[in-house]
Amino acid sequence: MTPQPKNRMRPIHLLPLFPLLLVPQAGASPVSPGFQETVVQEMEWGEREVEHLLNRAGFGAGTEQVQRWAARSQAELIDHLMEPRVVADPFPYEIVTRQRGALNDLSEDERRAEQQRIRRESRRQAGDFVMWWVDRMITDVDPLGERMTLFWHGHFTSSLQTVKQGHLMIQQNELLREHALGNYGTLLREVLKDPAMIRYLDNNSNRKGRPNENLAREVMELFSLGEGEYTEDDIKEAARALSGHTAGLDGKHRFVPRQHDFGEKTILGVTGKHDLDDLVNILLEQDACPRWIVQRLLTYFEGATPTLDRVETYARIFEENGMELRPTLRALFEDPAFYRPAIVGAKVLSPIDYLVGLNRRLESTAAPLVVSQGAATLGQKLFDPPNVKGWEGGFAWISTSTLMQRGNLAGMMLGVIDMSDLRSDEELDEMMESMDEASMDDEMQMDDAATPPQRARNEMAVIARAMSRFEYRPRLNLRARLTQADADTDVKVVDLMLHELLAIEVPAESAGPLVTWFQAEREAMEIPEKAVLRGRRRGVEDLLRRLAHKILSLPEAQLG
Amino acid sequence: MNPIQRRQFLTTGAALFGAALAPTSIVFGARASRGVDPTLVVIQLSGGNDGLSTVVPYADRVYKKARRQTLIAEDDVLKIDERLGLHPSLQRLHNLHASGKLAIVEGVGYPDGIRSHFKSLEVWHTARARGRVTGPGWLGRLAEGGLKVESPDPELVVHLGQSAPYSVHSSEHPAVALASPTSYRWFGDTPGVEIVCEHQPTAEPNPATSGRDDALAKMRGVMHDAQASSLEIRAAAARYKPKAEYPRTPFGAQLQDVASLIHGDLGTRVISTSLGGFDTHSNQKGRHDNLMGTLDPALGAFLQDLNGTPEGRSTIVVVFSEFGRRVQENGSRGTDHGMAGPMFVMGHNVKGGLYGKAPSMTELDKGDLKFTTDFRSVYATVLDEGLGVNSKAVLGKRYPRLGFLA
Repeated sequence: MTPQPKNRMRPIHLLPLFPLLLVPQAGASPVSPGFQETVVQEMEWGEREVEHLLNRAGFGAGTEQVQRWAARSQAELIDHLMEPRVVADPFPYEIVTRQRGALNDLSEDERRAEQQRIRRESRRQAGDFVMWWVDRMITDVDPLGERMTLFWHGHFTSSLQTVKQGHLMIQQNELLREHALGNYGTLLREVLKDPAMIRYLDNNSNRKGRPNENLAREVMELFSLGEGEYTEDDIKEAARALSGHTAGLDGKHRFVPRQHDFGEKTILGVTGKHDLDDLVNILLEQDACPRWIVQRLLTYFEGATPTLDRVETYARIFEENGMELRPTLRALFEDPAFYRPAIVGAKVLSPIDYLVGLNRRLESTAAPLVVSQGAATLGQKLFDPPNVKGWEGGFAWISTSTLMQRGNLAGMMLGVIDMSDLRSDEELDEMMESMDEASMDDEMQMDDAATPPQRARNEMAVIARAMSRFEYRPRLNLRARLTQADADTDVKVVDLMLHELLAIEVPAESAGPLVTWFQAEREAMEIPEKAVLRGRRRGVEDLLRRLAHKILSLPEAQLG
Repeated sequence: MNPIQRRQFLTTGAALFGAALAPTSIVFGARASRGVDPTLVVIQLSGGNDGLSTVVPYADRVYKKARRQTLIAEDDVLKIDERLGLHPSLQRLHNLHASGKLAIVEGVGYPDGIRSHFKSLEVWHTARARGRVTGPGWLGRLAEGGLKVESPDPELVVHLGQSAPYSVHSSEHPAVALASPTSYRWFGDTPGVEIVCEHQPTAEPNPATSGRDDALAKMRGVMHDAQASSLEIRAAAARYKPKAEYPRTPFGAQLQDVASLIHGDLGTRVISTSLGGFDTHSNQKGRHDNLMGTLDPALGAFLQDLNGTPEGRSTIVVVFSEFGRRVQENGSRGTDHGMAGPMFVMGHNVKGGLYGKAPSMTELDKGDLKFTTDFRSVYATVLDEGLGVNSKAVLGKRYPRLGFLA
């Protein structure tokens, strides 16, 4: 810590980042005062930059939207993203819980049934809310606001599995959304009083003389400073400062004086009779705090671990702006380095990014349920992050298994995979048949071997069943896009679809095998090349959907 | 074959339409002549298992005083000796101990123990004193260099479960990770390798798209591995006839799948899987009892199943958790993150019994048990004596071996 306490709450001022940006020369440290030696470089602004910004700051965009923004200035798009928005249709949730004493007159069985009903109702409400949230991402009502709400959900994590009350998770999500682009210090303070957080990290049982350190530890390790910036003693003392801050099922934060430790504490070198607010003030004063937060932001938005120099630069911007998110993100989005070749198109799409993005590009807005359940299968279950550290991101999203399941989900959304595809495994059957006589026994055993728990773990079948219950039909007209773009050859069709459906520009060689496949399929269906564009030949739309399925199964479709 | 060569081999094979899928001889025939190589199975109890409620020092005065709500009474434990007993639900593990096939290593941990789940898991997963910065996990390093497998299959290292732990991380030899074999495939009109082009990096990589091209190359490698392993793994699970009855729980099913991989002749040598829910800060008793009740029948069936075949009998099963829990209960009938805890090693070739040294119940480190055995000694024993791998190559240095493998 620096000897003199610094006042971080200076008035907000936007850094003077002009349309002509100042870029430090190679080798010069960005933190060196005054940018002594600089080259002036004009910021490129075209479809590449627009799509990149919309991928990262929002949830991707269709070709038409990208083209529209490319015709306008960078500042206009950033203003549009930054614009504060009111939630026009807030989710109408209820406090689903039992009243004190309401279960007293019931028999044991009735009580259990009532508790189960409440739990189910609470989970259902949370599930509905998640779909409401996903719908906001798909419909693009507040792209950066929802992007940052999702970022904070992975930063200030809580999970429904632990919290149990759905309405508390919804309430927390509203808190994150309200401050998503606001002031970090305010958000941190509010999060520590958030009922879902208090329950998730056991602060209800953090009492004077009987401390529970869970919240205190994660506040320092994950929410504000990062590991190694505090001692075990700081955690013990911080836990004392947080004691007595409780929350009820009604979603209200309560300070219980008799459970609070009013004694003197020393946290990070500062001694006093600290309470929650004092703890937050101490944390916000640490040099490690802005560094940690911008390190998380840069990693999230750039998709790569930032250099120390870059962290220092942005920590200073964050700090000078009183830890306000808007000016900090504005500086990032205006920074030519945000558009550098190492970054653009190189981030692994998270499951939500992948599924929301493909719905946005397909302009198919009918499936928030499939998106939320599908993302859960791929490892990103909203309201249930795997642990308090949130989602790891990057290549951790991709395994042989999740890569295949991403393609499967795209196929289900496009309507080219249905229940019968999921039930049969012709490939496996063929192989079993082709084996020698001795394998007859094996086939007899197959049903036994696939015991119910095994089948229950066919996660795709679970989603497909839900889709058929909802009578899901993709509302798509891919052929109309060909007409608009005048794509009258196989090569043009494939190029157009790659362009329309993916978040990145693909290398030229990606199209080759797709063209070969498409041409062969088209000829097998006896559809002339020109007829794909012009005609209303049966099967054209289906063929295009199968092409779209293949494209969305490609490695190219997992990047943004 | 280095990984690049391996991928090129796969691509060339796949250039003939669908060729990567067809030849069943590759799947079942070619490896038959090979002798039985031992398989390592690592099971993670995620969340920090309360060691004192698993291997219970039932006679200890400090234990009885510190634990009120989570106490396991002397009458209930399954006694091992005058000092220790297993949790009452660990009936099958107790039998395994009696038959000399369960090694219990007491007081396992590492210097300057970290009480954060993630940081501590990073230490266990990387086998480094402080967690990872970059580079492969310890099972990744085992795959890359330790095992010395010539032209390894994509399924050399498999993780069964939702997301793979860092231990199996390796960019040179990425693990295959799957939730269940049944759905480990592309459905419908299989996209297949035939539509994936192999990016041929030109002599001079394009600096304008460097990030994208690197990410694509990596992603294509995963795609090829998926293509190559999908049918093999499904077939192994479909053909598998277990020699024991597994409990009908997800964890039971998971271990049955592990057994199918061990017997599938897929070239799998390392398997990782996990059981979660051990972070019992509040109302621990019922939750931990249930977890033990899930763990024991599944592990029991698994070990019984393994005992019936040469592949199974050469398998080594290791069970660990990122840390134990604090000796003193907290105020919410639970326990907070602690330090040292017990580890289990099981298998036909295991010399059962107690290993390591009991941690002191009175000389604590801020309320936590001090470790007496470095977990890397357990790893080293498994590597050197179980897998015949030079442990120094994997762990970076030598650790004392414990001798629990014959």
